[in-house]
Amino acid sequence: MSGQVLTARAAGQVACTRCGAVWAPRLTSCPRCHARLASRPVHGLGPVWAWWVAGLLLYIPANIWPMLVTRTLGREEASTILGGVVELANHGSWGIAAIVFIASIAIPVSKFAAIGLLALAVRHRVPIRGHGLMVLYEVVEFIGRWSMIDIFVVAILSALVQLGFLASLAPGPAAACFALSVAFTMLAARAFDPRLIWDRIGEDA
Amino acid sequence: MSDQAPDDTRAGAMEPRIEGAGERRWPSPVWLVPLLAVLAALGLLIQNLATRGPLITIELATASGLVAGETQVRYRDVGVGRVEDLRFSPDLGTVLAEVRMSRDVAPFLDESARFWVVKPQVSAQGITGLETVLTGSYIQGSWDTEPGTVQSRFVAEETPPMTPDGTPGLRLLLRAVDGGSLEVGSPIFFKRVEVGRVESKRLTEDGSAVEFEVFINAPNDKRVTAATRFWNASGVDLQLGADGARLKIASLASLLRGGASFDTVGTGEDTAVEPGRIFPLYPSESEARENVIAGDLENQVTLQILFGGSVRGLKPGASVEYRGIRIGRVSEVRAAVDPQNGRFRTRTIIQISPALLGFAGEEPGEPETLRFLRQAVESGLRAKLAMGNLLTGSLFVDLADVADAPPATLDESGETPTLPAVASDLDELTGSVEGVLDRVDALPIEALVGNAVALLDNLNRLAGSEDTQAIPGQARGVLSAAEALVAGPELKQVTTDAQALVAALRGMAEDPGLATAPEKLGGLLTSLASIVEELERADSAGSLARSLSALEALTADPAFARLPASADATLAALTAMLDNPALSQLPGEINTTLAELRSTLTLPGVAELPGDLRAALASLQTRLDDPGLAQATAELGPLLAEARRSLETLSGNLDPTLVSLREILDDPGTRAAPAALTESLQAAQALLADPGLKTATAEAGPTLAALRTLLDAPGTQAAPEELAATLRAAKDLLVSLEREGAARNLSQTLAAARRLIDDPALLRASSSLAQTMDALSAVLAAPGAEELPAATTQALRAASALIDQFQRENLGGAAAGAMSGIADASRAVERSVSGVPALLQRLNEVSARADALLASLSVGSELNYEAITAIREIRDAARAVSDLADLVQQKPNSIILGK
Repeated sequence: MSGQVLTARAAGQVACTRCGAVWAPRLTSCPRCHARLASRPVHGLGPVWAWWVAGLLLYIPANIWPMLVTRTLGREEASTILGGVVELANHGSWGIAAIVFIASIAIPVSKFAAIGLLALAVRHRVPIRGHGLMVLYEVVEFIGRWSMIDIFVVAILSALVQLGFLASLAPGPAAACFALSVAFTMLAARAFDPRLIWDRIGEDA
Repeated sequence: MSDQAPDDTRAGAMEPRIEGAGERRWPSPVWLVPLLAVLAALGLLIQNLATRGPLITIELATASGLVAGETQVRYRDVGVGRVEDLRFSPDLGTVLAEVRMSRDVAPFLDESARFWVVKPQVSAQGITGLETVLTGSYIQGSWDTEPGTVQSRFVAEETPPMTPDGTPGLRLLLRAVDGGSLEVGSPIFFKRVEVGRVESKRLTEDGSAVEFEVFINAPNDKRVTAATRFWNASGVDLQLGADGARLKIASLASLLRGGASFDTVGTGEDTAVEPGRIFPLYPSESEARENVIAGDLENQVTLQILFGGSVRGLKPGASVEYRGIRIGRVSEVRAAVDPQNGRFRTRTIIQISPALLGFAGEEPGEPETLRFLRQAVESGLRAKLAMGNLLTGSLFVDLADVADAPPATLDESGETPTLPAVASDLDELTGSVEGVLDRVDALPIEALVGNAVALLDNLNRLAGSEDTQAIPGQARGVLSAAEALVAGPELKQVTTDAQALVAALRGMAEDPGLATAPEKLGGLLTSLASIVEELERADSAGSLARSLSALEALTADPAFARLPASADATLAALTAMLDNPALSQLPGEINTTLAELRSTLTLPGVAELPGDLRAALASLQTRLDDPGLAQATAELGPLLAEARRSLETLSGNLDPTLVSLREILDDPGTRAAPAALTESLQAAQALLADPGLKTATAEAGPTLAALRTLLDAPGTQAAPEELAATLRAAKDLLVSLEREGAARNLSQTLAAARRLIDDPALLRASSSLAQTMDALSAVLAAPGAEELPAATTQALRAASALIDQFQRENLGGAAAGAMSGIADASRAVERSVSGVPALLQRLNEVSARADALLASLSVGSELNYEAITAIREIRDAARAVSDLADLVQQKPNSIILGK
């Protein structure tokens, strides 16, 4: 592949993104799988940026508002994500604190950064090789779902710890925001069309 | 969006066929999502700001239990705000809590709003705010339901208000001279039902009184009217007045917390009162009720009385009574000097209520009252002091009709009308009462009590001493010993054996052989009678008389007088010996011995004995009929005279001998003799039980037969003659003895015997005797002794053979010796048996004592009666306690509520 990349678009054809068949460019739908045919996304990077912005917006309350509301003997205590991490670390549970930190802060933040970088890289000159962008995209796609680990923990805990007056856990408003934020970043990753990276590789070549 | 433009242009340039180039397209619809998010955030923000209530500041002394960001402000237990910040006032004087209040309540935060911190609190009213132990403190707010001028700065209350705002009821003010035991939170009672609370307690501004703010809950606030009187109902109210002593105890709750009561006293003014009205708080119920009169001052008739004597004990408030009915009260007692004659008078101002006199109606009734009094005074109404209460000495004014009073009128010349007074008989009364008290005082009560205490102490010591406590145990021991003795098998066996013995003897008596014995005895007696005749002829009767007179002289002898004492001492020694424990074993031994004897008597050989005896008696008769015997009898007279002389000398020495004998008896060795005797008897018993003895008894028959033949022998027939000769010889001997001072010699011999008895060696001998008895018993108990009966049998056989030989050799004299030996043995047995009645008597005494003891313990005895009475009383007391306990169990509040 060194140097020379032939894309369907360069060949004057259009490829179906679902079944991979290559057709004449005038067709608007794949005769084989009836999927819609488009050489490149209609709105370009617009949806990516839209999802990305929505995710980022929701990520702010997700970190400000309490993630978990603990009621112990009538005393209510709300903890945010970062507050929870600090508390865990103070309790000496470094391992759990690290997991929560990575799953709830490190991964989402790096995802925002990665998607933003990809979106920028296909339009602007970024000192990253085209192949590196492809790897980055695959990593983002793979890791997206793991960001939900925090939501799982909260959901399981609030289902388990319901001891009435003694102790009870309830998800805070941040939980919903966080879940939406993760979902939006995943959608942003999906909205990104990797063929734009190939175009970029073609340009590089 | 800015990124989209180059994208479009480029895409359009590169794919003109796919999509319309240069076509202006709408941005992606996905952009709606972040747009919505932003809009939602903005909406939330606007809503939050719009619904946010005012920020108020509450001043607190301390911020105990408050946490910024957490502590709630509640109104009717609903959260209406949250403490956002806690800080100090600039001068550090107070803590300022910044509270974000809810918008809903904001308009009500006017000057009526009050705030206080709810903390756990334990007080006489109970425990409050317990839930804050777990949830943490919170600030409670309270305000009325009318919106007013909103304030933003409040000062928290130190203590939570008693009554929440909006509670239906009536808030009043009570004013008292002093605070009393009424505290904040104290209950207000109406007919002992709690209807309200004291909310605050403070001094009035000038400090002259204490003001209580009380709240009467609806619907009981209707009970408060203008005629209502409040009084302090705290705790115990003891009154000693002219009308006696009265003790009122309010409920336990009011004892602890204080309390006030109210009631509508009197009539009229049954109108509702407006909130905030001030009522006086009287110190006691009686004062509250009495002040009804004081409260109706305009309706009173004021009079004065001038008493001559002392008015000590008459106090303002004392009753004024007319024929026993209270018609007014004393309002003032003061001194007054009569300006006319300069005499000292005590002026007593009284107030008479026309209403109490019975003048009903709207108008005051003063003219009617005065008119009535004027008439009454003219017909003898006088005021005098009367003793209301002997203990306290309090007095009251009694308006009495005095029949022989000097004429007087109601003096209406002065400012107040004056009632004429008469001297009371009070001083006299007081004197006599004092006299009674003096007498009571003079009673030696303290000495009496002292004596009683000493007596009780002594009784206590006696009852508590170990000896007294040991008595029942010892008595029980004695009784059980006696019982064991009586119930013991030995004694029963003795009776049984005695019965059997008697039966055996009867059988023997019924023996046909014995039936003929009386005839023989008759003959024997006839012979004896002839002997007596012979004796008479020989003037032996005269000698006998002389002997008797000599005996009389003997008894008159001083030495003889000492005899009883010596005999007494001897008896005492004997008693001591009888007390020996070894002796107590005797009945058992005797019993067994008797059993053996019985078995011996039932032996076939014994049955033959009567026959042999009869034959022996026949032989004896023939011997007695012998003329030689008559001669011997004749010789007896002089012999007796000799014997008399000898007796006279003898008596002198008898007493010392008895003394010596007593000493011997007192000797431990002698004391040990009974034990040894017992052992000997045991041995004898064993001996009797031996089969060899039975054979011996069988052998006795032939022996007796042999004896008879011996008696029938011609040699024996000659024995009386020989006896007579012997007696003659004896007489000669006595005569010669008399001649040679034999009696004196005998006396010397007795003296020697006494010396011998006095000799310590003899004392040793007595102990040796005991030892010998021991040895004897040992010998008898020895295995060889068992063979003794057999040997005895052999000996008897030998004796029989010997008797045969005697018969052959005419050895009658030897037989006589044997006979006397048998007689000795029988006497010895007799002596032994004579001890049994004494034993029985002792048993009898013991049983009698036991009987008496038992009788004293039996039903109906005094001791028993006392015990039963005591037990009954204890039972009654227990029942009373139990009843009380039941009552308390059923109504535990009866103690607290005093019902």
